[in-house]
Amino acid sequence: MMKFEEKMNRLEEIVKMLENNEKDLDESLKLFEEGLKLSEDLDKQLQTYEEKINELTKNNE
Amino acid sequence: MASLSVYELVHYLKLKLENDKQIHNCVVKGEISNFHRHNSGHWYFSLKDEKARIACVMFKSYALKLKDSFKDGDQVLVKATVSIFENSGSLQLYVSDMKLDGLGDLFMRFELLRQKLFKLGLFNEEHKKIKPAYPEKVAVVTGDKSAALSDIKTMFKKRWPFAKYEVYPCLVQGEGASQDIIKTLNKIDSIGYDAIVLARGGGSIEDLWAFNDEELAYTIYNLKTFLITGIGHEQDFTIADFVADLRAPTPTGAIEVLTPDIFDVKTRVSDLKMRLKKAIHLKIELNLLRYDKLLNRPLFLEKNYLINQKIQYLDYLISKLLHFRVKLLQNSEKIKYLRNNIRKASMQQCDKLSLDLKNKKDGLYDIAIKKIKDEKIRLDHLIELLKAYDIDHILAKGFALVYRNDEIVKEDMLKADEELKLRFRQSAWSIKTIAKEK
Repeated sequence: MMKFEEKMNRLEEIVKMLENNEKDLDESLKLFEEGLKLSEDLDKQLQTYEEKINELTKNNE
Repeated sequence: MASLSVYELVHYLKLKLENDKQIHNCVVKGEISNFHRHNSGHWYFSLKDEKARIACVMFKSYALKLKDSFKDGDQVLVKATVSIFENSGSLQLYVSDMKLDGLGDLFMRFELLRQKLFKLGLFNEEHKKIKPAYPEKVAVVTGDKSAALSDIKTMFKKRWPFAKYEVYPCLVQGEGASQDIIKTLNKIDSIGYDAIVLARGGGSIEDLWAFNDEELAYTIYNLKTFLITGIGHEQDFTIADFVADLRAPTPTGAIEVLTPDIFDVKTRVSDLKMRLKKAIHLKIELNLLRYDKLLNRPLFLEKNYLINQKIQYLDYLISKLLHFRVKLLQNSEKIKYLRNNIRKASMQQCDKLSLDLKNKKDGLYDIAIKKIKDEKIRLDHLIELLKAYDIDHILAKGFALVYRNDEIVKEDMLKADEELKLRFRQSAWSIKTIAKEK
């Protein structure tokens, strides 16, 4: 399982590669798929914690 | 057992102390700490050494008399009476006089150690480890159940609930504190974390003294794990702060510096996601453009483009071939012509040579004939000479020769009635035959 930081770094790397148009279409699509999955993973992880924070703050009020 | 009120107990102690001659107007040696000039003009501070501390108050009336100025860390001698401030039940020195007693010892030791370690390079930037951007596993080293710890927990929740932090409670002041911290740090380092937070709430220099330990400095220096300090307040600096990979002013500050804000990270992730989508769309669009461009190439637009090209090429090859054939014929003509020339030339050469040979042969023959002739003439001459020599010999004996003209006439050649010449050695005679005698 990749660490959060590794995922972020990989996602940034993928975005950079795609933006610099470094790879052919096939590979770009594969990278896009990987990047999308990473960003959704990260989103989900962050979402979970955000909800938790909201819950905690609600309980504290 | 009869009970006392709190006041009765405290008041009793106060009187006991004030009446103790041993400590009435005693002189105490120590170091000023937490020095505070109140607006009222009274001074409040603590007096300390390495093992103990006591709160002090110096009233305005006494304070005004002093010429020296005082500050934290000053080593001083005070004249004071011991008593208890009843409202808080705290033991206090009521200072009536105070003077400096050299430089504060702890400050001196701190400064000496700081300079020593600085010279040894323990604080050099190149040894500082890089802060992890998104720490997930964090070890927190701080006092058990301290205010610092609860601040830290709050801050983690607020900024980066993502982190799984583990608290390693430690002694953070007093005897054995440095050793406890060293042991804990080494243990944490061997387990493996993304980062270590070494924190302690505010306090006097004595309170923070555990963080000015030389061995602790080397321990922090040798850690494999990134370490951030949050010790005391903004203005407090300890040796641990200098040798740490990063120093934050307070425990709360340490978490603030160490962790990213979850909302910033969320924004970053959604930004990356957007760029990701944009980039792939652009990529596809570019490829479509390339595809369109390809479709517009004559290959796809013209029917039989490929065949036409091939036919053209074939035509070209055929024309080349024809040209080559002409050249071949030309060459064979030339060869024939040259061969004839060679034959002619060699025959002429042969004729010329045989003629030459013949000429030379003829010349040779002529020369030989001439030579033979010459030799014959010479021989004839010699024969003549030889003959002459013979005749002279005869003449010398007195005989004569008979000549017809210049030819010697032999006996059988003589005819009658013929003019002849008779030759002696000395003279010649013309004679006439008459007849042959019988």
